[in-house]
Order: sequence, then structure tokens, then C-alpha cells
Amino acid sequence: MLRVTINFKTHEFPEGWTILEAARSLGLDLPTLCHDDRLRPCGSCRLCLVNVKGLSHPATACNTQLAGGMVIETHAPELENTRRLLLREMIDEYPAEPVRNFPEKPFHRWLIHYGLTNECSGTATPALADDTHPYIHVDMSQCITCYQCVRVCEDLQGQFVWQAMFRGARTHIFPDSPPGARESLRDSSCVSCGACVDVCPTGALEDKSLIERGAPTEWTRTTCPYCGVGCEMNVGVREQRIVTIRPALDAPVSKGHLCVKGRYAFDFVYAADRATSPMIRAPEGWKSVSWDEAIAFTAEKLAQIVERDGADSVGLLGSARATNEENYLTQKFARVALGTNNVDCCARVCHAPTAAAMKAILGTGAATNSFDDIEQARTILVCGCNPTENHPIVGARIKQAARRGAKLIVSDPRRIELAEYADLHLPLRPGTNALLLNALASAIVEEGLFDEQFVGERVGEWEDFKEFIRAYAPEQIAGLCGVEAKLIREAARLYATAKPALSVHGLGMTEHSQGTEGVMCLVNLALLTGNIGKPGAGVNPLRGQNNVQGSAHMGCEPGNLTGFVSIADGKERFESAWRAVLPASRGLNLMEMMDAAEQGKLKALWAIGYDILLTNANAHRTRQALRNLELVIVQDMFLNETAREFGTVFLPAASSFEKDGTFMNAERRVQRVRKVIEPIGGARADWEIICEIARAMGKGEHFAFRSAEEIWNEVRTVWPVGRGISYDRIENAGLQWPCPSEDHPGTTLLHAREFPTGKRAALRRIDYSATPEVLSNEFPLLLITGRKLYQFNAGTMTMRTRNAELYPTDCLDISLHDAERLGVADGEWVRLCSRYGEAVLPVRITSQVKPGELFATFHTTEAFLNNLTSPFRDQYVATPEYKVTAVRLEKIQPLPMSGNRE
Amino acid sequence: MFSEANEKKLDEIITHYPVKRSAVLPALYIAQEEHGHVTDDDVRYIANRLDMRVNEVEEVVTFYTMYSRKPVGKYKLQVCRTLSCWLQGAEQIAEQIEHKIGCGVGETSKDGKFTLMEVECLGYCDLAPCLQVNFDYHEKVTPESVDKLIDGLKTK
Ligand code: SF4
Ligand code: SF4
Ligand code: FES
Repeated sequence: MLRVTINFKTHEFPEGWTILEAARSLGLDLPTLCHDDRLRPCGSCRLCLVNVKGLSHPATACNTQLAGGMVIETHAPELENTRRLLLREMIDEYPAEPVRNFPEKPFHRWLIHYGLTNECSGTATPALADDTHPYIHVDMSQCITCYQCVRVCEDLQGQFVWQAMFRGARTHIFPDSPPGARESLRDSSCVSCGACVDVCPTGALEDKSLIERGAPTEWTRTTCPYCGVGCEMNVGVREQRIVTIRPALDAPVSKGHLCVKGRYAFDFVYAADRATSPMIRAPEGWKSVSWDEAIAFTAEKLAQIVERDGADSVGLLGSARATNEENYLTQKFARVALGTNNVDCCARVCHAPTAAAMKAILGTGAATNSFDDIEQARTILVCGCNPTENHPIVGARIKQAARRGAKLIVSDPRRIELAEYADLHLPLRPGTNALLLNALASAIVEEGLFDEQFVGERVGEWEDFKEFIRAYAPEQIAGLCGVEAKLIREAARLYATAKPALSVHGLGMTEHSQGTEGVMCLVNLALLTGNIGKPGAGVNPLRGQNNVQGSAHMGCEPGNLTGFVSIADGKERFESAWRAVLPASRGLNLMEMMDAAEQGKLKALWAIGYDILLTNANAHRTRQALRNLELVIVQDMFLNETAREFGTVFLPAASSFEKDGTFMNAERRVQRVRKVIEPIGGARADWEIICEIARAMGKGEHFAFRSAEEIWNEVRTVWPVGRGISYDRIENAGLQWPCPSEDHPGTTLLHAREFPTGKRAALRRIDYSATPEVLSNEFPLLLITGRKLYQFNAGTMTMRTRNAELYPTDCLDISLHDAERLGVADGEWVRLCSRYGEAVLPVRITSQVKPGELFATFHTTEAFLNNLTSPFRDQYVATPEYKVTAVRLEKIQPLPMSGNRE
Repeated sequence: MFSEANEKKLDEIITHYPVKRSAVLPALYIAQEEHGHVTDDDVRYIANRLDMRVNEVEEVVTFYTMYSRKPVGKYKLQVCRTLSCWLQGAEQIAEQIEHKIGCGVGETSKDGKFTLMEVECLGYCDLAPCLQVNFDYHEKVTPESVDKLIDGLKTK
């Protein structure tokens, strides 16, 4: 601690603090215009000047460190004069109107404070305004060249959009748009994260929504409804309407940053086609009914079917978009109210292979480390994921880590953005993860780069593995996986020696016929090199949706109960907790439900927040299956494709802005979701709907909940490692499980000393097996599917926001080589044909994909990309192989209209 | 994108520095020498050659007033407008030139001979006001001396 005198009183402060931090901690309101906690201090605006005894000139508080014995004065009259003078310099041409309209903006606040408002003599210059961006209003007549936008775009987002051109008084901030569109932010490389808007002290950059709808009168903190990163946000509301969303500055995961989805894509809530009334399908079409009617109808139908065909003729799908509480109720409903284990969620089609592989080897099916380990890692291995588009905040953190000098290895068939920052890019052939990872392991063993001590103490099956892996020498494998042996060896050396090395992986690892085993190979690598149980290391799946980790973990899993406890292990305990007899045999997973429906064995399906028809692979078969069902209950915010074609009952659900609960992010962190606005129209929270139906079926005693917190408290009684996570404790920051008691701080790092299964984890000997989906003369191109930054999965939410302007239709990425060979031009609409179906979409020529390979997104109903994907599945957990489909590309004439949904 | 000789020159210049990007200023001179001004293609090409972002190059070009991004006259008349020169009457100098060559600041005269520019400090505060013509400095200029200077250039 340092003893420092500030304004004639002596205080103690921690070492390493700046004068500004100390002054703020005392509640002193020092003006700053170039400072932001998210950025390194730069000391350029000079407003924070303070007197420090012994120094001949005032010092800038923001970038001067405290020293013991300092005597500081912050508001001496001459300092205040200097500040007034400096501010006056800035308002020479500053317009007066914004000061009146937005007095809360930091710059305006200081102008008012120093009595300078009358001296703003400028007027807004229309030529300096730019409204090309769908979300961001730019008016550079309000720019005071504080450079905060330039710096935050570089040092937080890593995008380098804003540029300072010219010099002196004529310095002008421009986006990096091409010459000719110089002022247009829309044409720049901006990824719309909104960070520059957050830091701009004047409103030169501002959210359009806030200008249009007025400043918020209330703020509520909640967790982002999109991806599994789990950023926290403050939602600004005015008259029951969301007007803006800003990042929560002290959020443990996002640290004051959001991506375009969390930051801007919220207007789906108010979409004109939001379905807000319960409906029952009548012969003439959908008929709006009262909630009572809808509940009674659903309960009666379900009871009839259970009575007639048994509980196992019904299946339930929980939602990765819904809260933990709601997923807990979904599976409890299946097991207790109906008596079946036929309950699953969309983890089936994404990271089920990860959960299975990691659980099998390490004992826990979740990320071993935390996102904060990214900054501690010396090497980061990015494996089959594209974080800058799909987990943008993690992507930005990895990018910054690489800029600071961390080694980066990217294993991906495509030259994704992170590959541009990588030391090594391994452009493997899709579907050969196991081969490539085995080759890495082989090189590590052969070159003696494994961690002898770790292997000796914590790893099993070493001798057998050592023998086995010889066959995968890089030189043997190179031709098969498409990566040069030399490159494989370099990557192996880097990963094994520049430690700690952390890996992140995504669906490029899991959505394969050999998905689970691929992940096992990745875990092998971490074990061999001792990159487990250490800070800055580990195996870390990037979970796709906000609560996909939670939905499976709460028990929306045909073989596992809450806490991922197998039915065999947990049945008795849960029977006594729930006071009910539970079905003993493992239920059907999502894919098996489809098979059972096709065979007529499954009669009813209740899908909560899940558009199976659009998102399941091989839509043709999904259609056949759904067509056979007698009862399809769809609970969603919109009449999605499943509902439109096959729904029997529609139950309108509230969005996560309209209810309370918790989400669990990719690093096992349970965070609060809070009600920001009242549900729109007749929409209700998923948990309320489930409780109502249970009551109508006479099972009310098991579902007598009046709040999300009550449900959560029951979850804590059946989930021992989550027991310590109470709403009170996560009021300000989420906690990571395991957290077994209320005095437990939560766990950032798993397996530090041992595994849940014991001291050692055994290496798996995985032989490569090729996918049955093969290229042929008829289908010579390999299609990879995936997502893009601006759209989220089925597009249900993002397509109903102005994100649709930023990415209006699904696109097919193709290499210049193939485009020329096939005679297609950039933007031309083409037809893709696979063995299973067709899709029509425009092409985009890019150097991101290799010749022979294609990449397409699956966000829109117009392209309906899953008409193409194959029926092949992972052999352990049945995850469909979305990442490899053999296709043929055909030219079409005439060109169809653009596929924009609006 | 440059002539063979200039390409060689650039290759050689790059070897002077530990990192490529440091060669950006000489590279821009080469471009300007070859094309009369720095063209859009030059900016892109230099960025590519020196592993820079296009806009980093653009920032440099616009920061230094000796580079032009637009075609300019044979003579670039650069009037310093920073404090010392301004106090010593730089404004009148600029006005006199405008009058003399028949175009405003930032413009090029009809005959394509002159471009008038106002620039930041030329480092000649002690000899203000100062005018720079291409690479030559003219100190303590007056409206009269400027007149004469331009007359002289017109006949060259
Ligand atoms: S929105 Fe984000 S990416 Fe776009 S300019 Fe601002 S900081 Fe950069
Ligand atoms: S990174 Fe994910 S959690 Fe964060 S704002 Fe974007 S979508 Fe939301
Ligand atoms: S805040 Fe310290 S110099 Fe700007």
C-alpha cells in the first residue's frame, strides 16, 4: 500500500494505481476526454492535469502512477482555469444543439460544468454526417479528435477501421472505406461492434436507435441472448421499449465489449410478425385461441397419446436459447409428468461430441479453463472454429493476444480471419481432424517433446499409445489430410514447447462422422504435453448458443440427468428428490426421435425454441419424420418453419429480455438473465408455460413454482456442484461451477490436481475413419456449412433486425479458381445439388476457401441449406455431419429475385 | 507498379531498415516522382509491398504535406500557416498568391503551373513568414517578393 496525500488528506492506495484511479476512488470528479478503462492511458487531452508537489509542471492523472509520499492537488484554481481554456479550444466550431439535446454525454457534461455552453458557435455540417451504417450515426462536426474511437477499434476490437487523416487543426477521422466512398462507414471494414460509439465522448458516433427513440430512462443488466461467450450488457429502456444496449464494463467475460449481435440485434423483439397469441391449427389454418384453451388442448392431447401409446411415444426438445431453469423444467416434465427420458436439446447437433469425449477422458464434459486464460497462454491453438465471426468477443481477445505476441496456430480448411494473424495455418482437408491431430501427437512423441513428468504422473495408457501413434508420422499423413509434413511438425513443436498452450475448438471438430473421436484426439494432445490443469492451457470448446452448455447440463439429455449424471447413477437420488418414479432406460436423442417418428413410433413432439426443420441436417428426412407426427407443439417467438409446415399447437414464448433466469456460458459460468421489459402481447416465459401444462395434466405438485429463482433453488438441491451458486451471489458477477457450497469461490480451472475419475486420464488410441460421404464425378465439390458474424443460426432473431442489411442472403464462398473453371461470376445465383437435395444461393468469390471446397451459410429459409446435408452421423452421439457434403454446382437462368426475407 | 529502376531502388531501400514498413516515406517519394502525385494504386501497392494496411499508408500521405494525393501543378506553393508565420502575415501572402495565380488554396492554376497550399509549421519560425516552393524554402517573404518570385517561375 502507498500513502499518498490528495487534496490535503492522506490515504492508502494499492500499488500500481494511477492518480486518476486514486482520485476516482475518493469520488473526485476529474474531467477526462481521452481516457477509457478499456484502453491503455495515453494522456493526450490534458484535462486530467493535477498538481504534484515537487514537479515543475502539472501531471496527467490518467497515466501517472502513484508513488509513496506523493502530495497531489486536483482542483486548484489554476488547474480549473487550464481545463476551461483547453475545453474552449475544442469548441471553436462545435455545434450548440447536441449539447442541449444530450447533456449527459461526457464532453457536454464538462462544457456545462465549466460554463462554456454559450460559446459553442458552430453548426452541424451536413457534409460531415454519414448515415450509411444501419446502426451507427456519424457526425464528424461533433468530432473533437480525442482518438478514442481509433484506439478502441484497434486495441479492443482489433479492426483498424478509424483512421486519422491530415494533421493539426485539420485532422479528420475517416473510416477505412475505399477512395470514392471515403465517408461511408457502411463500406468500411467495420464489424459493427459499437465500441467506438461507447467511447465517443461527444456523440459524433451514436446509436441511431437512441437518437430515434430518445435517451433511456432505465437500465437493466442482463446476459446476451446470442452465443455461448456470455457477454453481459446493460439494456437501456424508455417507455417499455429497448432503445440501446451497452456493454457492462465490469463483466468478467466481455470486459466492456460486445459484438454486433449483442450490441445491436435486439429489434426482433418488436418484429411485426412476432407471434404473440396461442394458436391451434384448424383445417382452414391457424386459429388464435386463449391461453386456457391452448393449455387445455395441449395437456389433453399429450395425456391421450401417453395413455394410448405410452410415454415413450412423446419427445421433448429443450432450448439452448431458454434459461437453465426452463431447461431443468423441460426435462423434469418429460421424466416426471410424462414418464419418458425422450428429452434432448440442440447440443445434439453441435457440441455433444465434445461433452462425450471430454467426459470420457477427463471426467467432465466442459471447458477445462476460462476465457481469462487466453491472455495467459503463450500458444493458442484454434481448431475448427472461427471465433472472430461466431464468438466475436473471444475472437477479439485472441486477436489482441496474437498482436501482443502469443503464438497462434489455426487448424481450419478455410483461411479464416484469425489465420491472417497466425504463425501457422494448417489448411486441412475437411473431415480429417483425427488424422491431423494424430500426426501432431505422433511428431510430439517421436521428437520427445511430450511432458515427461505430466505423462508419468497424470496420464494412463502411455506405453500402448506410444506404439500406436507411430503409424501417424506426419510424413505418412500429410498427403491424406492435405497439410505438409513440415508444417505439421512445426505446429507440433510450437504447441508442445511454447507453453502454456490453450486450445479452443468448435463445430469444425464436432460436426463430423468422426466428431467425438476427433475431440478425443485433441484431448490426447493436451494430455501428452501437460497442457491440462494449468492456467493458460486446456481444452476449451466454444459453445455455440448462449445456454447450450446449460440446456444439456440441466438434463435435456436422453441419457443424463441434471448435472450430466447418468440415469443409472442418479435415478435413485432423483427419485427421492423429485418424489416420483423415473423411467429407467435411456431415452431417444433428437436424431433417434426423428427416426422413430419416421417409423411411426414417436407420435408427439414438443419443441421449445428450436426450429428443427430448418436446422436439422438432411431436411428431406426431417420432413418425412415430422409429417408422421400426430401432435407437434411448437413453443417459440415466431411461427418458425417447423410450426409453419407441421405445427399442431403454437405457444408464444417470451424472449430472454422479457423474463428472469440464468444462462450458463462456455466456461461453466452461471450468469443472471433479467427481465428488461414486460412480455410482448400474450407471450409467456417458457417456464410458466411448462408449469401450466403440468398443472393441467394433474402434475401441479411437482411444478409449483412462482419464480425463476424458486426453480433455481430446486436445481441447487439436485446438482451438488452447483449448490453454492445462489441468485444473491451472482447478482453482480456469475460463478463458475464446480461451486459446491455458498462459501466456495467457484472454479476457473479444472483438473489442477486430479480428475473426477482419479489421478490419471487415459490416452485414447483413435484410428482415423473416413466419412462415408465421398466425392464423385457427379458430386465433385466438398461443401462446408457454417455461420457468419451478422447472422445467428436459423436467423430467427437476427434476420428480423437490421443485421439483415449487413448480411441479407446466405452466400456460397468459392475460390477464384473454381469460379473461373465453372464460369460463375461474383454475386451470380447458382444451384447446388447434393445426393440429398438442392439449394439456390449467390456466390462470393474469396481466397478464404481452397479450390475444390465450398463454404455456405445456413441462416435463411430461402436457401434452406439443410436440404443438401447428408444423413451421416457421429457414431457415439449421433451429431449430424454438417461439415462435409459432396455437391455439384450448376448455373441457373434466369436469375431469381434476391432472397431477402423483408 | 513502378518502373524497373524504381522497383530496384525500393528493394534496396527496404534493406536499410529492420522492418519493412519503415520504408514508407521513401517509397511514397518514389511514387510521387514517378506519377507526379501519389495515386490510389500507389497507396495500395505500397501497402502491399511493405506489409501495411492501406489506410496506414493513407494516414502517412495525408499527414505530410509534401505528398500530394491529387495531380498538382509544376510548382507547389506551400504557405506555412502555423502561429509564427500567421502572426507575421502569412494570410496576406496566401491572398497575394491567390490573386497572382488566379486560384484558391488547394487548387491548381488554369495553366497547370501552380498549386497553392497552406501547410503546418515548416520549422522556419525565426524567419517567418515562410513559403516553400517544391523543395525550396523562401524566408521572410513579403507580398512584393512573392510577386517577383511567381513572375520568375512563370517564365521558366
Ligand atoms: S463499430 Fe467496432 S469495428 Fe466498427 S468502427 Fe466502431 S469499433 Fe471499429
Ligand atoms: S460475443 Fe456472443 S455473447 Fe458476446 S455479444 Fe456477441 S453474441 Fe453476445
Ligand atoms: S484523460 Fe488524461 S490526458 Fe486525457
